[in-house]
Amino acid sequence: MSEGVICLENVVKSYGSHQVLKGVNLTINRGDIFGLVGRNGAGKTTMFKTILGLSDYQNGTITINGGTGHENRSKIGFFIGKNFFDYMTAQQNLDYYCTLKGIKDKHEIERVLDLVGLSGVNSKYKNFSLGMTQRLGIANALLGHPEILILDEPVNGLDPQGIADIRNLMKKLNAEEGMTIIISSHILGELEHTAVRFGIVNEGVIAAEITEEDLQKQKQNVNITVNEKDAAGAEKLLHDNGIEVAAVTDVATSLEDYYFNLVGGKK
Amino acid sequence: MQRYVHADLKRIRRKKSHFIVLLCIYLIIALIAVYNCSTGNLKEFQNMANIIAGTLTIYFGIIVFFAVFSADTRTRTMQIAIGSGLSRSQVVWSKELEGLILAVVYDAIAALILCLVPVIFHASLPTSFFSAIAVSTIQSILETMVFYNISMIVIFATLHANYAEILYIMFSFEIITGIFTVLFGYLNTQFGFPDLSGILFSSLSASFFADPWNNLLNIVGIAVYLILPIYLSQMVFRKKELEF
Repeated sequence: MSEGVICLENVVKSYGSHQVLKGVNLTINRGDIFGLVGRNGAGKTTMFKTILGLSDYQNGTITINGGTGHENRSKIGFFIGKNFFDYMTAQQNLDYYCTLKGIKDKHEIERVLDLVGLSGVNSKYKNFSLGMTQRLGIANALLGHPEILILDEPVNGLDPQGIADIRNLMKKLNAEEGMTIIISSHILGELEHTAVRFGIVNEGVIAAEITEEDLQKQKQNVNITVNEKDAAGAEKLLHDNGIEVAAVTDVATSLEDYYFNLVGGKK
Repeated sequence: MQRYVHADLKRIRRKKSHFIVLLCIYLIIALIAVYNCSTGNLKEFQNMANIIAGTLTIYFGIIVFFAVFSADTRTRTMQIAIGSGLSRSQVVWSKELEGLILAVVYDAIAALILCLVPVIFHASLPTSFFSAIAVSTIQSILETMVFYNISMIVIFATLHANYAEILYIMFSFEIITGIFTVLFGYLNTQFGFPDLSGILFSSLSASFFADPWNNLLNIVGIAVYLILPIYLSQMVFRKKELEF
């Protein structure tokens, strides 16, 4: 049986009269790459904030590595934004966070910079592009080999190559170090390539949890591809059995389709 | 907690503009001291040195407050510290420690300059001069920390350094003390309220350092001014929503 490293039990969080989390129940298993998806305001960020102790919640329990104390968060690496000092270089910024996190090994900075493709960059942070900022944020999250990695929109601002690099990195860290990774993203197609379990957040609850295998099983359609000139009359021709079928392809439900079917809205 | 303090002190050490301002102030203090000592006007030097030591709260206090909080609130490193396992209470104490360390070090260097210059110039000053400088410096450090702690409440309540910096400046220039003195005086003369100006920190501190043995109870008042704001900072910060 899988071991839950992060467990949310009936977590309720309100901002005034507005309830953002309405009794969230979620278990992230050790070794998962868990994708959290949901529209803006669904409660993804609030969920991360409650896990990281940045947001108080009115009801429920959050357990990290079996405990509820603040020290349990020390095994979490996380990327939440641009928490860097303008006047320092990438190395100096990471040195700051190494000290803060109690990491003594100075090779650690070079290791994580190398992982995100920023080794050898000596300019000050104020000169960084959005993509470099994202990479540095991920490097910071990776300092000290965390057991759990929480990434909020990690590929925002990255070019396609950067997105692929980060995706491969996540998979590598998960496979080689057994790192548990939780990612939130609006880019559903990308998340589908990275995560193996998904939680759909809608209106303050986990509306559904689904695995990569579940998605494969959700094959609902047999896609019959016909020549474009025949498309308009395809239905009629099918009935008549008189048309030429060029190809028949299985189409699995994409995460995107599943999400929109579940929560509504348009692609 | 020590890790956060250590990291922040390291960060402050890397900020060039911080040290340029510090060096300028030390240079000005040294020049004033050298000028007064070289002219042989030791009476004038003693007065000047006491004024400088008594106003360290303004220049160094402001620098310390900016150094500890300004960049930190902008980059939201507190969030990283909390997310990495520190409790909110530890964050408040870390900030308190940082302020104290910097205030003590910076004020002590200024005091050292004021004491060393006459020694270099072989000026024969009474021992009372050196003890007066030491007392003024301690008084300044205490004053800095009280104003720092009160302004810190605003930081932890709003997570914006600007309002707190303005508040600190108003404290250090005695604007707020002045307002309260006038208010207490008005309440006293117009409505017969007891004169409460004696409970202001500046009054408690001044009377204690002028005559410690007869004002021992003032220590309690000074301690309240030092500790109560830390407690209030923890209270306002305990459930504060922290943004990414």
